[in-house]
Amino acid sequence: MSTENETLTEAEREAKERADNFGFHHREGRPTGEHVTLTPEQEKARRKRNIYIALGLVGFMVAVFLITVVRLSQNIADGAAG
Amino acid sequence: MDTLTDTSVNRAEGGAVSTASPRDFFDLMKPRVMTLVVFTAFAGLVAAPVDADPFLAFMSILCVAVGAGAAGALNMAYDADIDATMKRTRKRPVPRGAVSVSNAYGFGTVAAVLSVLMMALASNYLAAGLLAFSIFFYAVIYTMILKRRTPQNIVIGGAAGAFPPMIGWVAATGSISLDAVILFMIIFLWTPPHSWALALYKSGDYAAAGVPMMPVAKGPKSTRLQILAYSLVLVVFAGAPVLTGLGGLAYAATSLGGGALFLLLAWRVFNSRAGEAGSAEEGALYAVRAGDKAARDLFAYSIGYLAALFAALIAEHGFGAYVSVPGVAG
Repeated sequence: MSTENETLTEAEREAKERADNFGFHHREGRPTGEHVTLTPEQEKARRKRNIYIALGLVGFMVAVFLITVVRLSQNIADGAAG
Repeated sequence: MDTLTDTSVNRAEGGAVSTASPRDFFDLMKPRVMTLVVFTAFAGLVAAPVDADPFLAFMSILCVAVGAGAAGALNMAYDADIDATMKRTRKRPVPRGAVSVSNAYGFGTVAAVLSVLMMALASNYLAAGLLAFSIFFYAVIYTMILKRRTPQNIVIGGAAGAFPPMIGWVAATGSISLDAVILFMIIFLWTPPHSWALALYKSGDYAAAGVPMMPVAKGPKSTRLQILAYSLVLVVFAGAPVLTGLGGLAYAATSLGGGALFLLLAWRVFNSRAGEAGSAEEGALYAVRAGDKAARDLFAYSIGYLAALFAALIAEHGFGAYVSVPGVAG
């Protein structure tokens, strides 16, 4: 194996590595997940899911904030009345 | 090593990446069931003798909806194998392949945790505890333990669906009262005749999936008798809110008229041959063979009956339509 590699030129070695590594060279240092090439359909679905997750997170934060404000107001009013 | 390489190649082609849409995840939450859950929870909240803050009340109902949806997602994740064999359920997101089992579990768990935490924040710990328990009861006690083991699955498991009005009541008041228990019991007693009416005309589906629903385990004749017995108990018990003063004239009239029709339809099921012909060929929810029409009618009507009872409570307590029944303290 090593003998075979030694006989290859630098360019050939790189081409071989890319062929074995989904088109990437090890020096590019990409994490494994980045090797996935999404189909347009998958990419569209992922973008849509991400938008809904973002909306959900923002909605959650707003809900927690508003609930806190309402409950604080109630407690302050109760304290003033008591 | 080979396995790793195969997986990598698969991933490289995008084979393991989901194409699920937000709509698929919404469908995981059983939106049709959620509608009735939200409605009954709202009725419990409105009927409670406390004026809740509108925003906090809205958030509490939202939590019940998300919690019910979470339980539905966990149910679909666990039941993916039998859902795939049943005509009625094979187009659900997991058996259809739109959402993976692990994603359905993940989605259900996250939604369950968030709904319970939000409920604790928006109302009180007792309501949050009841919500957590109802999710656990549906996902674990009913789905994982009872459903595939006993024909009493829906009788005991029905408690999970009976919690929403009680949760709504507790979210408003912070405590469980007799009226909250009565609302719970109405749905608890309603579930068997409702579910068995469906099971009668979809029994072939359940038999193929190996789910011991009453018509599969005990036969259609026994099921029809039990439907009639439960209907009788339900219709009588549905009058209980009138005795405690929770239900006024409008509720009493709805309970009486609606109950009479419920009994009539249950009687028709009892005298029919529903369930004898096996399952309908079509997959649609209301599609039936000729002999099963009585069961289909009861199934469809039972939903309207329950909705009408709780709508009467909402009208009386939320829109000032309460007129006490003569001779009963209101």
